Amino acid sequence: MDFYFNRFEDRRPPEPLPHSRLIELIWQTLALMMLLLGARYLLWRWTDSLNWDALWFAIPLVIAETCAYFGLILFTLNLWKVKDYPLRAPPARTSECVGSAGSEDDRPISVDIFIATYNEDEELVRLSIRDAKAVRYPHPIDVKVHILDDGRRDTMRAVAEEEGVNYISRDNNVGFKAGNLRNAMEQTSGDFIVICDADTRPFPTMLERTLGYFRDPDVAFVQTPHWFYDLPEGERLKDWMGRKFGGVGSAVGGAVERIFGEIRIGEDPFVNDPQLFFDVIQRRRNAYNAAFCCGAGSIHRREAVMFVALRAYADAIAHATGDAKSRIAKLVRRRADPAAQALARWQAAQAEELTPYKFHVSEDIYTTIVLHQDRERRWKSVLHPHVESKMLSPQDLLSWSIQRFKYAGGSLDIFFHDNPVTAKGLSLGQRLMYLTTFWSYMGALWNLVFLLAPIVYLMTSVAPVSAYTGDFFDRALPFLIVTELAIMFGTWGISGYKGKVSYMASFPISLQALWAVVRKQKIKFPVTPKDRQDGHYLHLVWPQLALMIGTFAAFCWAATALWLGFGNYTLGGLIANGLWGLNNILGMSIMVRAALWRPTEEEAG
Amino acid sequence: MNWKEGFRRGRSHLLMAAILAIAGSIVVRMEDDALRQETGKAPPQSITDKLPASLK
Repeated sequence: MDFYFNRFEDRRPPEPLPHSRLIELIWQTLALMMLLLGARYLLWRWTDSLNWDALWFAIPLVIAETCAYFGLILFTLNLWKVKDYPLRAPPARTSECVGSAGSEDDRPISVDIFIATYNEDEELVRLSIRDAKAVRYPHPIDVKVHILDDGRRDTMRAVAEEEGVNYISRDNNVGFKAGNLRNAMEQTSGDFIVICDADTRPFPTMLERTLGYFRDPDVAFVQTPHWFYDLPEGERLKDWMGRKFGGVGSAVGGAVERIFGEIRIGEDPFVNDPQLFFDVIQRRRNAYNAAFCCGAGSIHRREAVMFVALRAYADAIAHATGDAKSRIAKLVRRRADPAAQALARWQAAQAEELTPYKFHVSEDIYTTIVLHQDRERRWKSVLHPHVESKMLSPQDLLSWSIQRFKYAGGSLDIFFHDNPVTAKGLSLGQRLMYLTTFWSYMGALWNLVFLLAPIVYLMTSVAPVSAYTGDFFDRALPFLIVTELAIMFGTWGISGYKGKVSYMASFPISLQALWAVVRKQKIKFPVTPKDRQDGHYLHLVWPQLALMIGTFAAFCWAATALWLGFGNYTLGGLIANGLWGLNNILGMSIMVRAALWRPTEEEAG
Repeated sequence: MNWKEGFRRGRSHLLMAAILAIAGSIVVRMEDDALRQETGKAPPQSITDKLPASLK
């Protein structure tokens, strides 16, 4: 079948970022300088810089700066050092993976590969099945591939039969993907479970390079990095300029590239590349045993998944008993009868279901939190740095927005309703890493202040600081410059600009998710479309467009006012806020361009 | 990864640092000149300039 991604089949994933002790030392030194300079700057901001004539503006901005600085501390802790788990030889038998206590049932390992699908093209799923069947292993073990079809499609069943793999379905869609996985777990028995989405295509090396981690009996799951092999590569600047402006354009583009290195126009328009998230953020959480599961491309020890199920089951029964106890206590005004409690437990046990994956939009993070919380078992989570599968990226802004909203809403829902930061059982490092995740989504609030601040100055000539003099720049510039350099070394080998502006520009999605969670609205589970949707999506980026237009208009207004001599504008203030506004406009423009993006004929196939 | 490639991939940070340094210096000079014209005296260059003479 002719898919748009057929032409990308030969692409190979990048190797994990090499670890250099020297680079890490430079990063750590600069990071300490950054935090010290930041503390100095903020101390001055709070004590000596506020514009007392405009506290309505000065206070929100300084609070936003403080929140962002706290996020920077968390991010620094996250990136502090690389500590990979050692790769170990793939085990052959169960006794090699269960520790000394449980080695009585010694037999070859068995693995279930789950491919969850709902409404994706059957031929797309067929590709995933074929790649799953091609997974190799150096020992004779039992590997079974299962299609988990929540769409109950005869056509999907036929594909499964043609490919010789097991077909699993159910008569309802309770719990969506989590329910689908639970249903499959009830019908299978492999020691390890590989979770794949419909478009997840495992590499042959997936098992031989990951099952070795399970030689440590405390390892609950291994998450492998996601890699989107269909990202548009864009066009070299010199070629793009040559196409637009002829020979002169090509020469200018070539000259710019000679100075700054290769520049590509139209590359990864949605900033989907997850390398920063997996190869830097998640990988460095190994040092805190705090990498979390991201669903597709993860390998789970069945015992650990069942542990989560039993724990949730027990908690639900205990909770029900507590409820019953309080109801009874209210009625009789004396201590609850033990027999009544036993009855409540029994009733709850009948009513509750054993649920390996919590029915939640972020069931994978939930599962990780429950595992990390167990103080007796001390489960470990591993981020394996090598890419072991390929996937398709969201191909339009609607799909992208749905995916980001699910991530943001799911994470914030956990933060507000089951906060692991204050829950029992987690280590300090794990708490801080979960807080880092949640804080990053809360960042939309202070990002909005940073986006509005230059507009306020340019429209009103009211500055949030007492003056843009040497005092301000003496403290702000060293902090900002060292921050840029520190982050460059902290993410050495990755181009960070797009990630930074994408984070900034996606503030409406995070705010929308935050608003939904605060109002206790259920975060819905729409399946992310795997094929390209038609149309332009400017309606999805109206907040970014409004900010761009507002910033530009405010700059024109301020420049005119300065020229005509009204208001309290200064040239320095105009330049400083104009550049700040320009930075914001460039950041927002990424999302607007994404809304208008269309694949070239070549990319569309 | 060699240094050249590392700096190439991190060029946005280098560019931003350079813009901050250059633009910051220009704005400081402008604002200080404006302050000098308004007040008739030079603005303090550093924190120590603000201290009383006995503490310097």
